Amino acid sequence: MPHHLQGAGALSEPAPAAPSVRVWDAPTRIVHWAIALLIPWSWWTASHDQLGRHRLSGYTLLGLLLFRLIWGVAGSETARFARFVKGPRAIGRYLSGREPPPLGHSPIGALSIVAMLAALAAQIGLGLFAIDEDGLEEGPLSHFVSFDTARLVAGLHHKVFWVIVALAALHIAAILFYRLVRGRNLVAAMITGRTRAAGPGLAMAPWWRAVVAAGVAGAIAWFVANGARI
Amino acid sequence: MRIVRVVALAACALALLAAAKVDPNVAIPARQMGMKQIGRTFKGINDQLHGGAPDAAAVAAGAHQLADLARKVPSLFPAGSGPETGVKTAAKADIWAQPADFRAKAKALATATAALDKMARKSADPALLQPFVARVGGACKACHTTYKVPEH
Repeated sequence: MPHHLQGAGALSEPAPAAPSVRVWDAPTRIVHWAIALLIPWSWWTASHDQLGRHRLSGYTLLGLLLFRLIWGVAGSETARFARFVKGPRAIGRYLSGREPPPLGHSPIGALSIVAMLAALAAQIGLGLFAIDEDGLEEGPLSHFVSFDTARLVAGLHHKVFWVIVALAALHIAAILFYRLVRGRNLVAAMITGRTRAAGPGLAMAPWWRAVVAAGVAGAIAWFVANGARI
Repeated sequence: MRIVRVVALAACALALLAAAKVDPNVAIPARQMGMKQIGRTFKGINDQLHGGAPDAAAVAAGAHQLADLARKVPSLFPAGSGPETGVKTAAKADIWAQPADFRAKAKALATATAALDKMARKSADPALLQPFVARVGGACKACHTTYKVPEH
């Protein structure tokens, strides 16, 4: 059972007197803000002909994404997909306000998280195989595909960027909605890792597990960045 | 005098015929095919050089083919195959408005690919060929930046 906000229906607000509890662990927050910074950086470097930096940004995002996927099965309670990804019935109950919102991602927010991670995965994957028309700049895996395929992939890489922009805009709009309509500061929680809620604390993963996950994610990203040649 | 007039008329007729011969629906796809072929060939060389253990024969063959293709670039841009035809093309009208500069850029590509071809016959050492390859890519880019409509 998820831990509930104090006495809350979806439409009511948590009592200000509720105690402060940990909701997001440090790895989840670091990954979140790093992705939030690197997506605009990737766009800027690509638009300013700095493909060396663009690739480095992409490899970093690949590592962060891989870490987040590992953390989604082995991380702290609020980071785990099995805990926050819900079916249509749970989403309906949440939207109707019959069920109190869980601590962490709401069932509707989970859809947004999955969509954003999927779009990011697609974008990174495409970038790895892309090539520019001059044959000067290429992703590290473009040697696995033909020039024509790599050019097609480069076109898709430009299109998926706008999918990411749309999802990020939706994400920010939802945060503003919670801030202005529901009176909840989600940004502060993602910075400090804490929110006001009743009930027992959440299970947090030990720090060494984050180190192992980062090592695995980093090693895979490094291998891919170097062309995945065996 | 009569012979001069006949020759002049014949020349005009030939010029008209030649101009009429350029069908943008043929010339533009032919240009796109030619450019793609350059891209494929160049990528083939790069894939060899980035792989660690390049096949010297493949690199030399690719570089030779690339030099051949590069020499034909000006012929891919006949007058009457520009955007004014209404057929979809990324080639800018400036190509035909500034023919001297365009030709100089095409010549730079021919020179760069010829240099790569010459060097690739001697060695397939990636470190040695890298500056030659970079010069080819730079020549592609220099022309595309000025004369090609960006895709995005």
